[in-house]
Amino acid sequence: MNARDGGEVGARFVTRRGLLFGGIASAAALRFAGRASATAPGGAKVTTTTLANGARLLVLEEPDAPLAALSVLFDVGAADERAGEQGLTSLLARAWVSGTETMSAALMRFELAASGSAVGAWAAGDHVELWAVCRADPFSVDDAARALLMNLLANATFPDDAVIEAKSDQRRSLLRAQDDLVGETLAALRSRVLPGSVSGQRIDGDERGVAALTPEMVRRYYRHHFHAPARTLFVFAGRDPADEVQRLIEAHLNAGGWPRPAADRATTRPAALSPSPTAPTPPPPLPPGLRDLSTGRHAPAPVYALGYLAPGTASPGRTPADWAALRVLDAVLAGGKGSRLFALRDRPPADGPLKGRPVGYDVRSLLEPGRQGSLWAVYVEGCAPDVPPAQIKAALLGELAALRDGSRPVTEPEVARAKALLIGQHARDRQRLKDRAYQAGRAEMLGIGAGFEAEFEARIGAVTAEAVGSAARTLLGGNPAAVHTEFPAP
Amino acid sequence: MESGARLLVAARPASDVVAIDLRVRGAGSAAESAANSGAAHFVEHLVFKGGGAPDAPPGALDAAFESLGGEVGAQTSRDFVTYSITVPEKNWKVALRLLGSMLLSPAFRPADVEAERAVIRREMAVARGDARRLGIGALAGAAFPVGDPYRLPLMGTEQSIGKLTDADLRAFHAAHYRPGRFTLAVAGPVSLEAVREAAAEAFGGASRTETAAATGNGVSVAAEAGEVPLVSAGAEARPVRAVVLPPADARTAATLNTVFFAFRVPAPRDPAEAALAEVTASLLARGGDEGCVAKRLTASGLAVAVRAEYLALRRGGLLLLSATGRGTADELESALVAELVRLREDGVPPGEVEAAKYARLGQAMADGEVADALAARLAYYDALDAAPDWYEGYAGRVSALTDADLARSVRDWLAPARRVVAVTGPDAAATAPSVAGARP
Repeated sequence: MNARDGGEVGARFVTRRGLLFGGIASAAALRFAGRASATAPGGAKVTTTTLANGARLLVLEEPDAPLAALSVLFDVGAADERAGEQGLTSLLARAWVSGTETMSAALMRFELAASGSAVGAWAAGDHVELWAVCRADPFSVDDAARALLMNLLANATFPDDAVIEAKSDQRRSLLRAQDDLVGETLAALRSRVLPGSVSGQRIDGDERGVAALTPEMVRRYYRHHFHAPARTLFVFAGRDPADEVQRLIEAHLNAGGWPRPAADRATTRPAALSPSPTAPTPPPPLPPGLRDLSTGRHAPAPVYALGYLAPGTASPGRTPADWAALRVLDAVLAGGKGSRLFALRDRPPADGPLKGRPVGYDVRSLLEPGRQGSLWAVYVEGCAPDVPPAQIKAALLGELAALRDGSRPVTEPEVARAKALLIGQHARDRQRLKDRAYQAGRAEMLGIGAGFEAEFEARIGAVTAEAVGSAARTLLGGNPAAVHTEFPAP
Repeated sequence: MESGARLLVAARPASDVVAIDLRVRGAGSAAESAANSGAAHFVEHLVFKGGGAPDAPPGALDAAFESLGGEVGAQTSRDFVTYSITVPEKNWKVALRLLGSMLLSPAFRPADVEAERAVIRREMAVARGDARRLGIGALAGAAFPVGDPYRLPLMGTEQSIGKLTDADLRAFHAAHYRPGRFTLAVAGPVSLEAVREAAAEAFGGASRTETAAATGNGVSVAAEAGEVPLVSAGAEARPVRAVVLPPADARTAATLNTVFFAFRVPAPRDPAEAALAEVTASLLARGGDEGCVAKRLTASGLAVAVRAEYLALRRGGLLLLSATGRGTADELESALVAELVRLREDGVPPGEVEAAKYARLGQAMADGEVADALAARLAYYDALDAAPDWYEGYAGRVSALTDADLARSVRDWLAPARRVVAVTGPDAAATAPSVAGARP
């Protein structure tokens, strides 16, 4: 289980109209300089390059793919929202696939059904994805690229009725989230561990704030933030080679007039949250003595969550190898039912805070990467009601301390289990082409690099027990934050 | 297979992973009686404790699976229990062997039984805070005749699991966990022959074959109740109300009310009727705010989510419809009833049937892309004794449905007077007095 702010906006359309791929490509401005490529063990050739307009392009070439996936990832999120704009990024994503100047939403939906393709948009805490999936043949790919790039990206109109409908959708999402006690607890923890950061903010805002957002605010936000090549990454996965993909994408961007003139757009974030890969500003460390926070919610099965500020993926001095070690550490601690912290449920110690009682029904962790700072959290769902939260905390901290201070260091079998599980889960979670495209793009945006995705098995396989121990000392050396629902009175 | 195990294999040569979905037919809560209610779920937990060495530590079996690259998931249903795992291609045979050993040779150590009893109590508490689990459990408990095992709670009750002994659990396991009860679906870069060979090695020893039930589907006929008859719509009837009264510790958990309806619909044995039931659910609601009932209720602001699903049970299905929102339970229930009446009297709006069919076909296509979803889809209907060509014929059956078919399902199955009702959330307690004297 993990938490992701914002919601997927459903599949909508792709147009079948317009010029074919070959014709329009000839008008494209071409640029091949700076291209780098690598071949992943699974066979996909990964190429990164920069388009003439300055945006980056990542191509995963899979010669046998029956489908093609095209994503546009924007380095835009909650940190770009000013006072009074909270929730605006999510609202824009929800309203995005709703018609353009040249095509109504109804026609889009009709053509989607006719072509068997799909497009959508969604917002996370620190990025937005606009995507399309279609059949792999050139006609379908061209249609999808046109719909996504020329229509939706370059010429979105965000009509009033679409924004109003999206506001209703967002308000419903906020209301539904109220009764997700695990999600609510983790959201509070996220805000506590990453205060004021991109990742720490709630992407949907709050109900009152969303009610005040207007269609004009959405349109201005779009013009300001979504025509900035420096903050945009195009990702394509499919049969087509990188140079053809580049021609296709540039042709449709040029035809659509993307990006618009610079006068109306932002190229950087506020200084304190600059996404610059060279000098990210990390969130401040959690203060010592931070008291546990109760969400005030009562539940028959209390939830307890403990979170640490982990290094950002683009923090100075960090390397992809550090990220790999952190991933393995996470799996050692709470990945799977054979993990150290899950043992507090399955085999609680005979003495100590729990005294033979299971800590709860489930013990899981999450590792949410951020460029400036990441979140690592462990949470217990279905806590034992007769165990006070302080004792649950003590039990969790006891396990973590034993690993950090070396009194119970990580073992080779633990590392081997964790690595095998991570590699297996990585393969399972990337069975769909679209997921492979998104994850590669996300790694690229985070500064880990798409190559990390392509070489995941080798990167994880290279992690040593010593590196995991070092990651534990770094991660667990800081102060944790704790958030829980109300526990029954003793 | 010789043992009676049924194999379903979906070869996906391009896949990097192999998904294994094993269902033990007839080992779910419907195999229990009031005396051993909760045994199926308890056994599902205990098999994870492993067998073999008496001092094998808890978690060792989980670690063994995870060292192969996957985590075993398990779920107890009314008709079967599911165990599933997805692993990299190179490890699937070992994973299957380990799964066979886990299911057929658990140790049932007394210490494990006691430890797991406490864990199950925690799981029950989680379920009490989950409106959907509460609501659907209550509906099932009321939608079937008194005495029908489908009425039993999936996990039993605090009281019933407190009484179960390791001998009870061992007996339940011995009676139901036989290779002849297994439905095994495997999807990935595998062949039928390879799966057959690996399954024989995992489940097929001579002694195990002898214990397989002799009946065609592996479920003892003597122990099985007949198909629950559908009550025809339009007969004089009152709604059956099964208002959920959350336990005291759950009352403050939810801020939203949810009203659930259940309607009795056909069992999945007839694949055409099952496809119709799936599309009917999709017609009513999908994705929280799409579908003709969901759209109107969310657009009105009354509901924040409307959901519908076909709960396929071996001896009779349920069509579930729920609305969650800030409105009172009475408002939500009235709105749902009004929408059903409108559908029955005015007909299905143009285009809605096609949209519902498209959504189902899209979901089937999406599942087909992912080995674990595909294996689950294959195993699910087989474990319910649906027709063998369920999967191959699915797209054709859904595509063939007409507006008239959906008009029939709405008319015959969704009579508001035949609804079973459950309410969760803040209004549940207040609703209770209004149903005093309601028909059981």
